[in-house]
Amino acid sequence: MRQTRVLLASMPLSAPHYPSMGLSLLKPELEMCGVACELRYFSLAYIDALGADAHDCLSDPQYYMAHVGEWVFAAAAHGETAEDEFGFFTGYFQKAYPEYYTPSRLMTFLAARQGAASFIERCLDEVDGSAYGIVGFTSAFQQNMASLALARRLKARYPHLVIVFGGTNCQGDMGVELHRKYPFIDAVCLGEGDLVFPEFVRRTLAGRDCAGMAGMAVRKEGASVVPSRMTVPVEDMDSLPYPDFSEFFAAHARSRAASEYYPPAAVFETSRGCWWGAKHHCTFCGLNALTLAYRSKSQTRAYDELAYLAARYGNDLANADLILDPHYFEEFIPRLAEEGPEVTIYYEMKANLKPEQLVLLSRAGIKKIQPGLESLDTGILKLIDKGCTMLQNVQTLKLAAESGVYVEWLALHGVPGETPQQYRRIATLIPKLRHLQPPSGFIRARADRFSPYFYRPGAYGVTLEPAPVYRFIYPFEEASLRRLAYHFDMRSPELDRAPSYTARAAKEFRAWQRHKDASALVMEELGEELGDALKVRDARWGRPRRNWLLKDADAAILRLCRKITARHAIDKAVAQSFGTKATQAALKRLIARDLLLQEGEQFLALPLRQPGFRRAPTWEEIRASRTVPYLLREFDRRPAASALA
Amino acid sequence: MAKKIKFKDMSSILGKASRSPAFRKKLLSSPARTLKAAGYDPHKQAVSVIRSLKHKIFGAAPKKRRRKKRDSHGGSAAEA
Repeated sequence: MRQTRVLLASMPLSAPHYPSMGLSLLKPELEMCGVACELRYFSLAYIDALGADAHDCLSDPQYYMAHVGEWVFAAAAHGETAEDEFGFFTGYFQKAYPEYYTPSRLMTFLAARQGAASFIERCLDEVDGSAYGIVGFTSAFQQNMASLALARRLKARYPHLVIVFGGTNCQGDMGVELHRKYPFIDAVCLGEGDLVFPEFVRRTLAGRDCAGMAGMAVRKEGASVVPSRMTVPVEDMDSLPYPDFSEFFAAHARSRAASEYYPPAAVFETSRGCWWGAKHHCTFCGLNALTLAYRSKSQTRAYDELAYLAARYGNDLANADLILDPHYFEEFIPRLAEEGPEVTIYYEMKANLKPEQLVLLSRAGIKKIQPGLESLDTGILKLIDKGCTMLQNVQTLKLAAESGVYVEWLALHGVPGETPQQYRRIATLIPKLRHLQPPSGFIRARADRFSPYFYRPGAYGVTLEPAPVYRFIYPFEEASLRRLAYHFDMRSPELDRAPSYTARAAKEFRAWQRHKDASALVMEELGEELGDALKVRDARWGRPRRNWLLKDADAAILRLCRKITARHAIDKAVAQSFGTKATQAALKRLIARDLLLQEGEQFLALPLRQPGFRRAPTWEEIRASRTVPYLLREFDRRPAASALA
Repeated sequence: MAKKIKFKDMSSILGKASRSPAFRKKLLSSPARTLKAAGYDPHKQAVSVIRSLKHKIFGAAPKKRRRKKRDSHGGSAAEA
C-alpha cells in the first residue's frame, strides 16, 4: 500500500532555542492539502546525547566558519569509517583559530565525531520508514552533514521513501549540486518551499511525474532534472498560515538538556526579501538568495499573528525577518507598544533609526535589535553600500543605550577597496565610544553566495575561493566544492595585507569588548537654581576620569546635539544666544574633550543623558528592567513622540 | 601489531595528558615514541596533532564553569 504520510526532520546542529520556521509552515500547508505531516527535532535529541556544554562547544559562534558541526557528521554522511583523519585540526583549525586550539576543545570535537554515526543509527531506529511516503530534511547552516547521514541510511533501509531536501543550504546551485552528488536524495527544493513543496507532495503521492516542476530538482531515471525556474516566491505574505510550533515545544519539553539550559522561544516572520537590498544590495550579503524583492505581511495580520504566538507559546519571541518594514512604525509597533502582550522580541532592521523609533521599539518589547552597523568608517560603509554613515551608526548605539535596547552587531574588515588609513581612524575613534555597545566580533568580510562580491568579484578586484573548511567536509573536487559552498574567501594582494593594517583596530575592539562594562559617560541637568548647568562625568576606560560643569554655549551645544545636528543648526540656535566666537570655542572644547563627535559639518554628543543607564546596558540588565532608560522616562513625561525628536 | 589511533583513542590520550603532567611531558617531547609505547601506530597526522599542542595550553587551569540557562535571545533567529 502506498504511504501518504510525510515526515519532516530537523537534524543537528541547529539553534536549540528556536523551532524551524520552514518546517513549522510546511506542516499546516500540507495539512491544508489533506496530507498528514509529522515533525521530528533530532537536533534537540542530539543535545541530550552530547550534553549542553559540548553542544555549545561545537556551535560556538566565535569559530562559526570552522563548521565544526558539519565536520563532526561528515564521516557519518559519506559512509566512511575513517577515524584517523586528523587533518582538520592541524591543516585548518589550528591556523584559523589559534586562540581556540586547546586540548579540551579538541577532545570535545573528537568525542563528538566518534559518536556521530551511532547517534544517526539511533535516529534511524526511531523512524518507522514504512509508515511514510516522503521524508523531508530542512538544512540551514550546519545541518547538511547530519541530514545527509540520516537520509542515506533511511533510503538504504526503506527504498520506497522519497527523500527531499530543502532550506537555505539548498538554494539555487547549491541544491542542484547536492542533488547531483548524493543519489539517495530524490528531490531538492531550490528556493521557497511554501508553494512548491505541497504541490510536489501531492503529485508524488498521486504517482505523477514532477520533472521540470518549478523550484524542484527531481530525479528521472537516475538523472537530475533541474527546472528552468529555481524558485516560486510567495507574493502575498498574508496568505501564509500561522506556523505550528507544537511539536517543537513538545520535543523541547521532553529533552532534558534543552529544557534545562535553552529556554525556548517562538519565531515569527513578518516579511521576506530586503527592501534596502532591492535598491542597494550590500556587497557582502547573500542572505536573500534568489529573491530580494521585499514582501511583508499587512500590519493587522502581523499583530494578530504575534498576539496568537505569544498567547500560545510564551512571551519570548524572535523575528526571522532580514529587515524590518519601515511602515511598521506607523501601526504595528505603536499598537504593540500600546495594547500588545508583554513580550521580548529580537528584530533585524536598518541602522538609521530615529530617537522616537527607538523609544517605540523599546516600549513594544523589541529590546534586542540587529541593525547591521558593520563598520565605524563612512568610507568603508560606502564601499559595502550600507546607506549609512559612521555618525549615524554611533547615534544608533547611543540612542539604543538611552532607550534600553541592546544592539547586536559585527564589525567587518577585509573589504575590497579599503585603506589602512580607515582603520587608523577607527582605532582612534573607539576609545571615545567605550561606554557604548561594542561589536560581538571584528571579522573578515566574506563573499557569500548570491552577494554582489560573489556575482562580480572582478569588479571588486578580488578572486574567490570556497572557504577552506569545505575541503574537510566534502570529499569532492574543487569545481564541485565551488557549487556546494555558501561562504567564499576573497583574495587580492591588498586584502592579504589586511591583518597588518587592521591589527591596531582589532586591539581596540578587543579592549572595548573587555572594558565596556567598566566605562561610563553621562551628562546630568543641574536645574535652574544652578544656572542651567550640565554636569558631565567621564569614566571611559583607558583615560583619566574627569568631571566637568558645563554652562552657556558648551551646555547648549551638548543638549542640542543629543541627536545628529548640522553646524548651521548649531549656529542658528546657539550662536544667536552666545555669539559666534563663543560657540566656535565651545565646539572646539567639546571635541577636544571627546564629548562631541564631528563628521564633516555634523555633530553628535556622546554622553548618555541621566537618569538612565550610565553606559550601554548588558542584555541581563535589560531583562532585569531595574533601570528606567532615559528616553522612556522622557516619553512618559511628554507622551507626544515628536517631543523626543 | 600496533593499532591505528582513532578519534576516541586520541581523545583519551589528550585526556591523560591533561591529567598527568609526567605523561604530558613525555608525549610532547617525543610523541611518536610515546604513542608507540602505548601500543599505537604513530602515524604522521596523529603525531602532528600532538606536536601542534603546547605545554602551556595543557597547563592552563581549566575555567570553572557555572552551568546556567542560555538566554533565548542569545543567538540569531536567522538560524530558525
